[in-house]
Amino acid sequence: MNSKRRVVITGLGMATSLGLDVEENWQKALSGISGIRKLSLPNTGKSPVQAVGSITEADWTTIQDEFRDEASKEGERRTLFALWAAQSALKDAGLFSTESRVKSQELKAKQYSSSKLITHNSKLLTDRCGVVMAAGLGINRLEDIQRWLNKNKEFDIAEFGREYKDVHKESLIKNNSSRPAALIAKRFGLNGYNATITTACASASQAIGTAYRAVSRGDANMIVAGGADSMINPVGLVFFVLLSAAAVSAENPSEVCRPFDRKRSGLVMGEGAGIIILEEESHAVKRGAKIYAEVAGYGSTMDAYKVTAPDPQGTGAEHSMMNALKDADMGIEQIDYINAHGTSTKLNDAAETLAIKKVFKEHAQNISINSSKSIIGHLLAASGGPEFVFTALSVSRDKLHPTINLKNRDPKCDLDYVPDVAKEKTVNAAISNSFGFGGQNASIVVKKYK
Amino acid sequence: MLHRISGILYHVVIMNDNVVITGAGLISSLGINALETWEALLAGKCGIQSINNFDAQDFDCPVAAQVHELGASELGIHPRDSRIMDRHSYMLMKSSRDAFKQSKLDNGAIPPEDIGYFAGMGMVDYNIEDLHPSVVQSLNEDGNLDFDKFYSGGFQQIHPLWPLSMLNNINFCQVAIALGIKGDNTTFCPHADSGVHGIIEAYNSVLAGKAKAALAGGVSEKVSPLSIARALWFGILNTSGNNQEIRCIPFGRDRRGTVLGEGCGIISLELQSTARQRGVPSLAAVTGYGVSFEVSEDSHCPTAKAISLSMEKAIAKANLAPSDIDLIIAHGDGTYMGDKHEIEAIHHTFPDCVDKVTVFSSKGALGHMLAGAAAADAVMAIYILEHGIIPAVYDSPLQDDGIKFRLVSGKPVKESPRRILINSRSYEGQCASLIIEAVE
Repeated sequence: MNSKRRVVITGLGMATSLGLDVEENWQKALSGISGIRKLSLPNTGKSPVQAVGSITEADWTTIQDEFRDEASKEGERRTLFALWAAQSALKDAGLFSTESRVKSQELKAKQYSSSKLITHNSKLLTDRCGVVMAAGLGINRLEDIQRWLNKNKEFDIAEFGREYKDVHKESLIKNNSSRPAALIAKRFGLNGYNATITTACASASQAIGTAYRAVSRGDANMIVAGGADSMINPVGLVFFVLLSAAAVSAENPSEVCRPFDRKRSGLVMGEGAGIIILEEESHAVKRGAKIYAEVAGYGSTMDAYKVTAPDPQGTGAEHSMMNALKDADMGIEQIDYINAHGTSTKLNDAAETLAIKKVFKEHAQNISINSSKSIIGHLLAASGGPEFVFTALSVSRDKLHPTINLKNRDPKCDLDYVPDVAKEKTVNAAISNSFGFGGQNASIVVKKYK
Repeated sequence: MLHRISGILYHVVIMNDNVVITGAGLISSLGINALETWEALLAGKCGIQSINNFDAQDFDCPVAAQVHELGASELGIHPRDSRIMDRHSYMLMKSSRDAFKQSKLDNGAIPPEDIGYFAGMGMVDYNIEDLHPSVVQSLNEDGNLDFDKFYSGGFQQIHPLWPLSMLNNINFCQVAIALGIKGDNTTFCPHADSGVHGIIEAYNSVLAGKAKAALAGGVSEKVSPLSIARALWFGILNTSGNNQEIRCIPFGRDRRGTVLGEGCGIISLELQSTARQRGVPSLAAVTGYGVSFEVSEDSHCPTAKAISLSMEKAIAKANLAPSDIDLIIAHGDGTYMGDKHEIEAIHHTFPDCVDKVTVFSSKGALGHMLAGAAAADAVMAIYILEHGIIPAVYDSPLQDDGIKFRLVSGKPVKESPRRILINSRSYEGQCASLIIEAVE
């Protein structure tokens, strides 16, 4: 099909343990400053997981103040992270200003005409603007079960049926996976394409890939895409411990996550959001938008191996990268940089390295690879969001943040992972990888906009 | 007018090859496969009954249209794998297999890497019994939760694979393993529109050559205490009367809310040229789709404008005019405001031909299958095209006085529609429409 339209990146937004501003995130990442800190939630002293990439209390307060309405009604962390990052990205793209909110509220009264504007300086057909967000599983609250125990400590289903309204609103409504996509669309008046993707840790990359395809084939002119997630809550904290996938070391939190290191011991959870604005090229050029880079291709595959472990041969990951290159119509030698999935688990990092070697052959030695998870942790369903932001900035600015904590070389991980210090390197094109539990893989090619 | 304005803006792709449907699987409260469901619909049966998997008599809505018990052994699933599977997994497995088999994708002619899979998945709720032992283990003397106890041992009462059962892509991956699907894929969540998204992405994947063939559709969530409570919280369920009286009455004058349904619809898609090469009959073609969003303030449904927009985008995408549409399988879920907005939207989108538009909704008989709803309607569209008969909306209700279109009620009508528009919507503002046409 030669009908593909070009798709460019015109806005970036983030909320991570490093901060709420993209530049702040970028500078800290380049300096190798870790966002992983000691768990500070109340009553978590005995949690087996003690190192997390949590958003600071101050930043959380800032976000709640900005979205006061939603915070009072919809206050789940991931939803507010999503709103923050979406607003930042829209601002960055010149598609949002504080005046516009007032304006669209005035227009709201006249029904139907509100969809004409989301900004004071640019007329957008909001029917052609959309949202694709990744979602994880939300919060499972133990209190919801404890509340309905009878004297014999059995769950009283009849009592629950009569009185569920008391506590379950929190869990049942705020947990709805499409809440972030719905609230972004509602808040910013985006009336077109709207979807929520749930493919575990591949979700945000598949969301960006799906949005790219929708813009490319003409279903939308602009899409707000990415992911937001948080599992820093009691059931979330033990979730990956049960699966034997979490790092449980309690000392030196910032050093626990060590992708590609021989002594890596599992993933470290982060939380937050990473959201980008994808726009059809002529649409962006016409309104004089700044363009960070171009999305050139997307590929996805399934391992169909085991739901409990990735394929040790990395075949699904290999094909995912190859499909993305084919979609981009690019050769292997054109890739300079890979933002790896790099979870810091034994299995993933070895299989991903093997897959990279299988795809790129001798050229694998020339490719620089880093893992953003070493710095901000694993944002789970959202992980592909901030990692894509870093990928876009690397392509735009020819700088790569380091993979931190990589001290002990693993013979199975023998490529250039940009250890310790940032690297300046011309990046004409890059790949961002995400692989989900269950065996769903996604790769996106980003190249310099020329 | 809207469709003409937006029609110009559409990127026109000249298609020399149709995306056709070559297989269909459907499980619902009325049948374990598509044919059983179809025949029960024509016979005017209804799947809504008292909830069968937990004691729901104290809930404000104690009824649902549930599938009959379906176990791992009947589906040939190894007990090792079934530990993390539940009713929604079995429904997805059953319908995916049926579609896979009918379209002869199981003969190995298309390599696994070239087969795609896209589905809308419902929310996954924990079963109380999965977490209950760890809660009990973590109580202090006052009966309150002691998180120190939870973290230092209580949590180990949770099965180590339980987390996988909570990720709604895992059962999707299990089906991929069982059928050997390794190609282009994604899963959407959680409302009726997500099933349409699955079909949209599969359609485009096949059209762009990313996959040679793809399974697509959607599966409902399992009806559980939490799913009923969530739907009650959103205010979409019928909470009037006792068990026998609670019905879902799409577009009825006395409609009072929807009733949840369980089920799964999956179709196989490929290019017509591929189907011909493989010698597989084309059952119907997917020719258009549209997606939109706008939530109605203070009511849990999209605005009439958003419902119109998704229909108009779909009609434009299929290069059709509204007068070309013979039948609308409406979302029609029996909620007061939702159906009101859909009525307005249909009147708006079909201004010159509204009296000629025929409308059907399956939810009176099958309940609201959420992520599986529109995909199930797509399977029914295939049967309508094949058999030249349109089932009646269950229960022949007194219709909403404002309706100007023709709602099929009383008994099925013998008609041979060629072009069918399917609507779906969420209770958060999302809308998605799909067009399915007869093929020569």
